[in-house]
Amino acid sequence: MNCKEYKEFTEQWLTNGKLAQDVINKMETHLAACPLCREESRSFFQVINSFSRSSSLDQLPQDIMESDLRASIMAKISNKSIQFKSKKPFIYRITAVAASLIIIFGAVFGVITLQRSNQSTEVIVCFTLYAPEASTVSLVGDFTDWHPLELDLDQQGNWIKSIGLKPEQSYLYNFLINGQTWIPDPQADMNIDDGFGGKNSVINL
Amino acid sequence: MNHIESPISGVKLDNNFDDLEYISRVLQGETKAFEVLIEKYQLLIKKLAYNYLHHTEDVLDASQDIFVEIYKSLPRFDLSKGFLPWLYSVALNTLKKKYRKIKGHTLVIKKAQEQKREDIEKNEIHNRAQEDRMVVKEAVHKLPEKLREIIILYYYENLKVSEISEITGLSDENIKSRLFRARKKLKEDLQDMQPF
Repeated sequence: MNCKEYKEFTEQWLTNGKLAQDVINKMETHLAACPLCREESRSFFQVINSFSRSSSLDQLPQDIMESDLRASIMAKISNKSIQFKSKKPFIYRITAVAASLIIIFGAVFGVITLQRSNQSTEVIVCFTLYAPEASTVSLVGDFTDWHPLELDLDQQGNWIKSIGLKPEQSYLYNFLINGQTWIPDPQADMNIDDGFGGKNSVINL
Repeated sequence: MNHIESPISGVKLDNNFDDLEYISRVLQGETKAFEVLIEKYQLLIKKLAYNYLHHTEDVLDASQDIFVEIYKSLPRFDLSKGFLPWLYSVALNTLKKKYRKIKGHTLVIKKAQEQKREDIEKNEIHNRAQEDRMVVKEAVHKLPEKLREIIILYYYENLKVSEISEITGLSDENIKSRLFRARKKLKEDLQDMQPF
């Protein structure tokens, strides 16, 4: 391998990120024999060489490798008493409704109707999703502790659930379709990243 | 480049029926079943955390945080989708949060590397390849987060572009572009360094 070929291969690696191991070996041999190329790109060759042998790129130190995390994680989990299935029904309080204000967001898929009670201690929020072909639709949000709360289907294919929420707060939620697919509310006024590659709908009361 | 296997031999991003069974059992309240998932994936998670953080204490700490986060997030896992991409994405998000929290992380990395250098000297082992890897690692850690993350997944975790796309939600083209930019930046950064 000469200097020209060496440079061509470094360019090739830059473009597609891969080189055959025998090419890398030849580059290494060239580098050992050529002070000029060594001066120019010894450090860069380290990247090419290291990345081509990535299984040994960073061997875990033995103490990390050998430490078994099971006991400590299980202890953390039980300490936090995280429960996935609440046996208790979702409890919500609805105070006397004086439908003084009704706001309707959208009409095609998700519809949220807000009715502010005159006592202003609670807002009744009607979550609606038009999904006639779904077998089940649940509401899952921070106000349900992310436990699914099943919606009721009406004759028009709308899934509906009214719940009472404290005003002056923001809530995050999703719809869960057929117990499997999470979707944000298509008609929400805002959706934000949930930090796990999905979206959460936001409702500001 | 040879596609080298993940630390857990044979792990692919496809779903594994055993995983789904254990996930379902955890979701049905059998917390103990989560221990099997920890046992199976702890090496993968520790390696990812190590590549991301490079500090023994933080690695174990972060790995535990990741599993707790995975446990807490399990109800949100879509059983019809792949578990491993989801696992990676929860892990990465937890690491990003953790990484941001560490103040002066460069110092931490340097300390870890100095320690490593001392160890090498102490054992009187002159391992050029290992030293090279440390230099590269340091350069990778100096990359902007958007580029560093992709480099770690591609070169350190040996994932394919399509798999990284599944984990990050980025398009293949975006990932390829980031990989190119990262390689170019590494070249520029390392050219400024004194060759040894």
